[in-house]
Amino acid sequence: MKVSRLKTGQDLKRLIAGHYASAFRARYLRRPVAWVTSGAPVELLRAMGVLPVYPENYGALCGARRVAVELCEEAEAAGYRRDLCSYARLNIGSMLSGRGPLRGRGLPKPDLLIAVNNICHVVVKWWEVTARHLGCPLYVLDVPFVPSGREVTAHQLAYVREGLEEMVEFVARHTGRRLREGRLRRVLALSTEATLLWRRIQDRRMADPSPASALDMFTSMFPMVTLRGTRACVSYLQRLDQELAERVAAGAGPVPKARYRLLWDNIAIWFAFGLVRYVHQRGGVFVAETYTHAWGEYLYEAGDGHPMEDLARQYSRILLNVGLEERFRRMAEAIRRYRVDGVVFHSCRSCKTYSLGQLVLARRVREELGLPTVVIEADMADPRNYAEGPTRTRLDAFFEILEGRLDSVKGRGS
Amino acid sequence: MSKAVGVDIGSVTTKVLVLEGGRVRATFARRTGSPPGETAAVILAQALGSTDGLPVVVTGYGRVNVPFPARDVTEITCHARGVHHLFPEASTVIEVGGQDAKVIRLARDGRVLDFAMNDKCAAGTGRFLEVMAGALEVSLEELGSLAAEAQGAVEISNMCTVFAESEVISHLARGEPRDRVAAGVHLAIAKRLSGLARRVGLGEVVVFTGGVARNVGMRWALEQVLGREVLVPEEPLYTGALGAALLAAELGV
Ligand code: SF4
Repeated sequence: MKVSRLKTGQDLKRLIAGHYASAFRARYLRRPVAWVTSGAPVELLRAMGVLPVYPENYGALCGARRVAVELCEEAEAAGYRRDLCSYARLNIGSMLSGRGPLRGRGLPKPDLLIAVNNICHVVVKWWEVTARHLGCPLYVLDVPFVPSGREVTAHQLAYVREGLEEMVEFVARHTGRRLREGRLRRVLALSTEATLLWRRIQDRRMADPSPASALDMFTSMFPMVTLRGTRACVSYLQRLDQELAERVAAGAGPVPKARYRLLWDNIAIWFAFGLVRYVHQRGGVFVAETYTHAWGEYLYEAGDGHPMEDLARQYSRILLNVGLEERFRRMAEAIRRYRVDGVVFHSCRSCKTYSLGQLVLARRVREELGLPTVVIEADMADPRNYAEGPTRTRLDAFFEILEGRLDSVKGRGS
Repeated sequence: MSKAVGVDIGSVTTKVLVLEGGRVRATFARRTGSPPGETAAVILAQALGSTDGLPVVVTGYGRVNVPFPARDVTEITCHARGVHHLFPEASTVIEVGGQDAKVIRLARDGRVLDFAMNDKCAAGTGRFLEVMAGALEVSLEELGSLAAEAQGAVEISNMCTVFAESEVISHLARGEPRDRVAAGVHLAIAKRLSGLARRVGLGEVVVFTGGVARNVGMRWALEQVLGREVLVPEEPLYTGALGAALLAAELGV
């Protein structure tokens, strides 16, 4: 049975609207707002009653609504180079011009800024620019990279923990809010619950047909990113899990007769979901994405564990802060668990941390796991770095490889 | 005798190849123009009258929505097929056309293992060479032989077509001999192609095809940079069309 939209998509819309509405309303409610990077330990902020807002998520939204180019151009006119990450460019452009897709203006000014360098170093400079422009206090949390073949060391844990404590002091100083341990434990428990649900949701995609493809998951991950640690996130994920369970029971999915189960690497191309639909047409379905799986990592030990140490460990181990060996290990595990037939690598012009090393990963997938791979060049938000025709040709060739030279041509009706 | 037709609609040139009883009966090449499928339709009508009932495979950038019945297969698969037919031991295919360049890695049985393409800009393609020939005020053929016979080469560091053109002009203004500049241009492209080739892994037997493979300077430069012999089919322009025709014959579509 073919299904197109998730019913929980309505809930999702409401959550997204609600999240941004609270950002616009926060000032009147006297709720402090922090702009945070996607790898920020948001549980601490939630526990302190600070509302986190994610400019990167805003970037995804601008990409999907196709306003990224005009905002990027504002930044480019101010001297920011086109090589800079498009999330950074479009946010800076929005900040400089006061324009944006929500309520006809940019995001409301935050009370404080928190950047963590565990995803990339672009965010540090980007947040510094923002701090200077808006005159906002900024805290930069340093989370050292975890090289291949090494666990997070005790030294690193102690170092990051100190940083986290300093960050809490910083937030307290600028908002007057204190961190209470009981509240933090409740938030961490909610984060853990959401993570476990997210993993269960992902695992439903082991079914054949897969009850969800990349289109569903790229959007459904929104609450995992922005609402982690809240009750609303957990109850949304429960409904999503329920819906996918029903789909599996009914043998339903977006591509019921898919011949190829695929894995997607890197950020979504927010303005070109048509490409995923094209993959569906060609008989492929995405059963896993490294990008959506990256949000299934926030497990905190209940009870006695030291929450700060837990946070230090989890935020050190996120996907873009670990060596290539570990990234390959996680990818290979997903390939095995979700019975993947081929991998699509989106080489993202903007995101160097995510894209560097993909050629090595692709070679290892081909040589060690024997699966075909394809690299497509694009950008998550800026369509000027993307060409539809050549990208389709690459995907076509990928399917021809998947199908075997002759069957490919025979298998496709004329 | 049973016929099969391969059509390769490139961004610059449309190639048509007719196979009969497994042999090449006829080849045609014309500028593509727009809409891209039109030229191919005209060639087919003139050459064959009607293609009704004939197996036709169409490839190249203009392969979708052609105004005649045909199966479409990507140029990657078709070039691989064509090259494997001509050189069964080939393991790497370097194909350079008017506006793109690609490298294909072949398995022993001719299957495509992997490929890499440059299709975003004119650097390292036929278009790039055309611009450089213009800057040097020579024909494309002369450009190639100048390079192949040059004593030494200048360094061209810019790969952007526009910047490289002004680099060429300033070399000439400084009194560099044209052959050394021509050699520099070809070596610059060859280095870029070698980078593309290393992405998919360079095999033992390298075959160079596509319209640009007719250029002797390009072959010379590739051999310099790759450090091994580079094979070129007799009619490199038609490799994609040949592969398409072979696929058409096999499939009987
Ligand atoms: S470079 Fe990558 S990780 Fe850094 S802000 Fe841009 S998209 Fe995010």
